[in-house]
Amino acid sequence: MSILHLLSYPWYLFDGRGVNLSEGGGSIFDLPRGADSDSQIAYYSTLQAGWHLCPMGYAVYARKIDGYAEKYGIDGTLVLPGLKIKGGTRINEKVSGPYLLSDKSLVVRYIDNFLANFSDLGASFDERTRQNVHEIRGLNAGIYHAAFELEERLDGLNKAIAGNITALTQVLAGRIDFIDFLNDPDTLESDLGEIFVFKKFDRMQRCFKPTAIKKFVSISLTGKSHGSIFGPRRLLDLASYLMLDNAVKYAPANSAVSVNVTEGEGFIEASVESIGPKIADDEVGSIFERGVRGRFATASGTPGSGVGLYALKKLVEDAYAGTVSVRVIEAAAPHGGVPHARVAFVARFPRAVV
Amino acid sequence: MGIWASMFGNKPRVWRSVNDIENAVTLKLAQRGPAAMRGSVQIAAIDDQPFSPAQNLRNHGYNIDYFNDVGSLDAVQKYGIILCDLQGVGSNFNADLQGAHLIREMKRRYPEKYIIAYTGSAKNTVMARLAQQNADAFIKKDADIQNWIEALDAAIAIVGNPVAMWKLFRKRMLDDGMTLIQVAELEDTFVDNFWKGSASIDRGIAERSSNIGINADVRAIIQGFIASLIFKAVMGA
Repeated sequence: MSILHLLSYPWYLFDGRGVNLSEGGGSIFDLPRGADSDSQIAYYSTLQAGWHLCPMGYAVYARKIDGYAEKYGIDGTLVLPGLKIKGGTRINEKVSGPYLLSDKSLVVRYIDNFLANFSDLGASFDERTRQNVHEIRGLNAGIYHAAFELEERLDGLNKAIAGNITALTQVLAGRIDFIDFLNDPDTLESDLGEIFVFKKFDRMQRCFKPTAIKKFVSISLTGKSHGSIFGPRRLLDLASYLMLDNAVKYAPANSAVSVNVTEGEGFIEASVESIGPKIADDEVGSIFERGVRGRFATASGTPGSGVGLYALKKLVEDAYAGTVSVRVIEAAAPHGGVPHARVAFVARFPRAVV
Repeated sequence: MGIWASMFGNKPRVWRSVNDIENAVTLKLAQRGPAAMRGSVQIAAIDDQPFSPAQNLRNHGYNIDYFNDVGSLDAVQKYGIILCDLQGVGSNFNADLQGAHLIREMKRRYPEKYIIAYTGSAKNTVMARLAQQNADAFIKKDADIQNWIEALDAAIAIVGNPVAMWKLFRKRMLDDGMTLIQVAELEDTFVDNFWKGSASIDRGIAERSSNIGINADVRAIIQGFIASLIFKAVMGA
């Protein structure tokens, strides 16, 4: 739910092309009758920042909002329609509900304060998140090293159990990296260096094995690659985590997740193939957009936020100048009444020049 | 062998440079291997929480001392590698930027030390940016042991290589205002005495720096640097 729903006035949010991204009734004030007609909305979608007089005679305030898109999903032109402004409206009729005859400066001040407070709240939340991440990483490190030490000292089944714990802490570390990345993508971009993609995916598929085994899902790694790419080392850990997390999360029992890393002329390609909820033909193009979940993924009941694939595409493209794609291979048996298919998510990276 | 004609006098002078010994040093270090060098470099870990990787890293041969904070920069003087948390340490120096500020100050005082920001998360983006600008490397608190080994071995490969360290120090001397001729004189002495051991280098540097007009304070810094170099890995036990 957008933070804009807290606004006292009814509002619309349009993108740069005039597409209506979202809208809301005001928390206190209603739209005048007719101000939400198709023709009025079409008018609002054309407005540039500033004050306007709509065809119905109401004042309309438009404000460009930017800088909030990555974190809060708000980016575009905010339009407050149906305002009665001293000296700025031609309307004399009474309107129903709470009613305010305002002036322009008060409306502008209200929006300024709203956005500033929202920004402050966001910064405060971010700081608390970072502090929590810091503490959780410390705890995770403690568990990992205790389990690792135990693993070194034990034999047989107990050694394997200790090994499962270390693997799970690394999956948790990947999840925490994901939170860090969403909070501030730039902070993971330090520590540039040479990265061996095969090694990274090998490590991550081993980390997911305990989780997969519990679901009766097998994971295997194939392919051959000795080459490397150049970029932020920590972000490739995150990329491999996101691909495997997505596959294992949706894989039905007794299915297989296949990880493959190969290289060609100038590139290294990592793919994760698995069975999961079918991606409808009309969704293939949008599956990597923020907030988008396939309808069959939603119907499967497996929780998801629609951010993982978006984050994967963003980091592969921005940090490595790579590409991410999805390939629907073939239909598979439905599970729980939901259509499934075998799909492969593919990340391709330009090779480092040696 | 590099040969430069002397600017003064009629006979060309033969200047020695670290390039002359670099291959031999690299070969010796490669023959020993990274695992053999681990114990020769002292590592300080600064973290307000117990340093959980400590025992596993010691089991792998690393020489680690733990501090829950440092009150002064002198405390880390003898360490070649410093692992420093970003949060919860360094508040004596700067309560807002904490570990990130401490890293910057340690780097300013000891530019040749290898500093790894060891981090759970930065408190804010300013802290993260400051650490990015000053630390030599980063490692997550919950990194697995293989990542730790790679990060520390990479640091030791630099800190444990006297030629690599001399090159860093050479740049610092030039940045701090020493002349090219002075630096060349010192490097010549360094290389001339290199295979005779650190005591010989120290005596040679002390004598040469006095002859070329380097003041006592700067001489002390140079000799402090020479004393910090790790020759054991190159010269053997």
